[in-house]
Amino acid sequence: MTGDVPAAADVVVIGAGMVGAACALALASAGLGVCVVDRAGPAAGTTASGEGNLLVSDKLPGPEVRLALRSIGLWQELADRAGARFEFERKGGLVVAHDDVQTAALTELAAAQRHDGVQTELLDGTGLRAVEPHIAASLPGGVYYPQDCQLQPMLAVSWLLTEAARLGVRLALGADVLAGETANGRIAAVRTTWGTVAAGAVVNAAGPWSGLVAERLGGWLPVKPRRGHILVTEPLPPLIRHKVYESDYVDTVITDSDEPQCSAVVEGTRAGTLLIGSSREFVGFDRRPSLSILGRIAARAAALFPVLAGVRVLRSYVGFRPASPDHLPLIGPDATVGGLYHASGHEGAGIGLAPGTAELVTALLAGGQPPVDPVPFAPARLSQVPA
Amino acid sequence: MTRTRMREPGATVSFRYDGAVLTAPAGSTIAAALLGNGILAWRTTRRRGEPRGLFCGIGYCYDCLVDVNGAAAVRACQVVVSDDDDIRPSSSTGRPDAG
Amino acid sequence: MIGAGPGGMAAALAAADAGCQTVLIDSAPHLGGQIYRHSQRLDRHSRRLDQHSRRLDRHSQRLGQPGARLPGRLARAAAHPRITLATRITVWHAQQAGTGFRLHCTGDTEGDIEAVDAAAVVLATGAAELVMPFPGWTLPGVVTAGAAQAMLKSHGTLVGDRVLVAGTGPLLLPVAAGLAASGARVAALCQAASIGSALTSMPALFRHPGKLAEAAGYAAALARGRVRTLAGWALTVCRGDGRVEEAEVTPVGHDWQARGQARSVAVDAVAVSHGLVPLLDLSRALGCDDQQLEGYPAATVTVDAGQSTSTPGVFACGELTGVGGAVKAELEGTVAGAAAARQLGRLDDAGFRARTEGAVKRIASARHFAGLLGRLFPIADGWIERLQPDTVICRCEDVVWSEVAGALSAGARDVRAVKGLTRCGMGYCQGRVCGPVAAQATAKLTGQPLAAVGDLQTRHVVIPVPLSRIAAAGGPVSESLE
Repeated sequence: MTGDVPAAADVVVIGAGMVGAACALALASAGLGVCVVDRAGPAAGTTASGEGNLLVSDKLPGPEVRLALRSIGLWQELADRAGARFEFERKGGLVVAHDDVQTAALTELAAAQRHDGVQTELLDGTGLRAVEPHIAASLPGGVYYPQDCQLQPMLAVSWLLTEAARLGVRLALGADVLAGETANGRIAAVRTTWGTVAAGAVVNAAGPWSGLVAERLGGWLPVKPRRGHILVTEPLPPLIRHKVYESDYVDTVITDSDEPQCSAVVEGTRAGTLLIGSSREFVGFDRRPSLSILGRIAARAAALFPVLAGVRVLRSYVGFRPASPDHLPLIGPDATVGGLYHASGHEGAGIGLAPGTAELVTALLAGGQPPVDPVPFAPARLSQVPA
Repeated sequence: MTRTRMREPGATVSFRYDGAVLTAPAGSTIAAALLGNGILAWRTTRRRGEPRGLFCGIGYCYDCLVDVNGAAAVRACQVVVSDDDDIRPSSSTGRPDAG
Repeated sequence: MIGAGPGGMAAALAAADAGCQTVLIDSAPHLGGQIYRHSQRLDRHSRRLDQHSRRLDRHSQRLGQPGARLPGRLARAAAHPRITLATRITVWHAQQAGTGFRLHCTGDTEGDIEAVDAAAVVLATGAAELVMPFPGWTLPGVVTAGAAQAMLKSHGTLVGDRVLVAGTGPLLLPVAAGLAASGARVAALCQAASIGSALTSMPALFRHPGKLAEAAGYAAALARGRVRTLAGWALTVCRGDGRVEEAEVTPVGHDWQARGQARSVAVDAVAVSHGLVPLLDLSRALGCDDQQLEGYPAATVTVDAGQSTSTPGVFACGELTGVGGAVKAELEGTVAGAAAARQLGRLDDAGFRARTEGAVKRIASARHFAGLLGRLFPIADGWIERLQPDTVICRCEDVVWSEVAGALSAGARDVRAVKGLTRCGMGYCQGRVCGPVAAQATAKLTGQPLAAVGDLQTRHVVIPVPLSRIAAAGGPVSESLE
């Protein structure tokens, strides 16, 4: 099946996931003519596998947490307009420690995060159980983050795209990007399976496929898919009030180990089911879930919440996070191709960081004061090793 | 209610359902036992609050969920009814462990 | 063997006869699957049980069903020294393990087997019923034809005293005949397929005299029960307060669009079926290829002449390879079991041929008949026009048509996107009931072929399983808090 692409657009956004949709809306709001291109439907890639978390709790102090804070603030503004449409909930996050060593590390991290503006509340064992009655009795403590939120990602993308379309954004959902046409080192057009769009600029928001898309456009972006697993339980009476995860979650994000990393993450949904994760590994785009990893996730979750041992799992699925080599998103101009901007590498934080990313991209592309320091996110910070 | 059980003498079990004591031929599934007593619906859906009972009859649709002796959301068409079973309309959700 | 219906039992007997240690697994408490049902009721006096079973079997024989062979096969399977029966056990996941396979199991009882390691696997998991939604289909009392059959044959229980049997497919005949013979008033038997399509297939039908005789037997039973058969009529609405009280039937064309005045029938139960959809959970888990059917929201497992799937060591038979009933399943099961035995070195080629020659000759005919059934009872998408905005599409999650249609107009182009946007298929049954429905609606509304919109048939966790079971099956046994 084919459709139409416009002959020209100020900006072509590649990717109709959360980041692409947010970019389309932000760019259109700045008065630019936008066309969104995706080889499949809305939120067909990583976004559909996301839990819908908007977190500050898991961000390391520095540029990452500052972008997260900015982005959550923007989400709150969007939620004030239409939060009910995408099940937006300011539910708070709880990070728990298993022993005193972890407690100390968490406390230190929380202090550094507070320095950047994150609200934190230190809890001892009793405090933990007051906040989450079903948590394992042996846990000595944790930190509560009231600013963490959750939404339903597919509904949110759907809403963002509807708002974008109201501002004139054209959607070409089903068009695959074949190549870019450049003139004098600057992007001039994007060739797709539905035709060619002349473009003043291009935003590459293709998630774990951003590296591939960058290459097709003559640029370079070192994004790799990092696979995660989720178990979904049967619907349950309300049990778990917040997103709860183990403190070693952050370690699994920043490790470069090839070993599959598992760390328990448990949270409820509006639908009554519980989402249980998580895992991180580099296996390309292999969609077949690993029973070994699911088993480890299940065991860790049941250890965190013993009440879950007999709860039934209805399904499991995998998703591919767009991972960047230094674990910071890649937002900004391509190192060589003029007019090509990347908005990727969010590795599991894309949903929360989407509006902040969109705001930054719009400022860089259309000119304007960047809301956060763009330097740490600049793709050019990573150099391509010559073959 | 219409009586839909074919006349057949033999062993019976008695069980409780929603406050009443009912009987059914031994070996019946809970679904057959309830149907035989003229009960067609024993669950209410979470979202629209609609009554449900038997649908596929062979265990793949999970419409016939019922709570039995404290176990939540069990398929009535798969579980055989036993003497003194305490059967209740299902809340259509699972249940966490007591411990 | 996974599945102890006609296919699985035949496969188990063939493999065990050839010398293989065989485990025959089935979720149900009884052997025989859906089509072979004897009374499950336990009477204190076994004579009464035998009498009752014999009466039901006589019904079956009168109706020309293969039920008569039941006692022999069951007895052989139950008594065979090399067949271990594992009933009330469901395989929730299957994976390749070394040179063989590990089947992860769950049962109702503590201490049930947790896994079976097998050198070869025969999949005979059968099919689920296809029911296209219509307003009122979720009213209590509206059940599938298979449910009416199961209640009748296994429990001697009628789903109602005044039953409408409707839909499309050969299943409707034995169900209506069985209900009528057991004392229910069958208000009518409505087949959406018209006489016209039957007539054009007449020449091909004559290649199957046994089947024609069977159909004639049903027709006779229906005549005796004074059951009206309405060909070219569809069940279009059900109404009632808390349960079905009235059904509306309408004449339809081959596209299932209304072609005349609807008629109302007073009922207290409805048995509906639009066909069967093979259950591909385990074949997909084991990496077996399957192919989407043309114009039908289902796929079948691809097998070669020896019933081998594309995964070496995994064989498939019965409805999985094409909906065709008990005889096809038995024939294919015999070949699959023998082929598995050959794969494991228990049979050489000559031995394989000797044991399967008879079956192989008849399989072609059985497959031809199965294909014929597809042409005799096609499905169409006219039912989509009759959906109301609040007609339930996903029974588990109460997702209604307006939400599904909304997702499609919001840009969803395949079933997975519809699922993600509406929760259709995310409930307990994981899309077994709504998956084919969503697929057909998606294909129609986006103007794509069925093969392009995908399905909800891939389930890594085949049935709901406790978290503790997954923990035990996958990683280290205890992930302690230290």
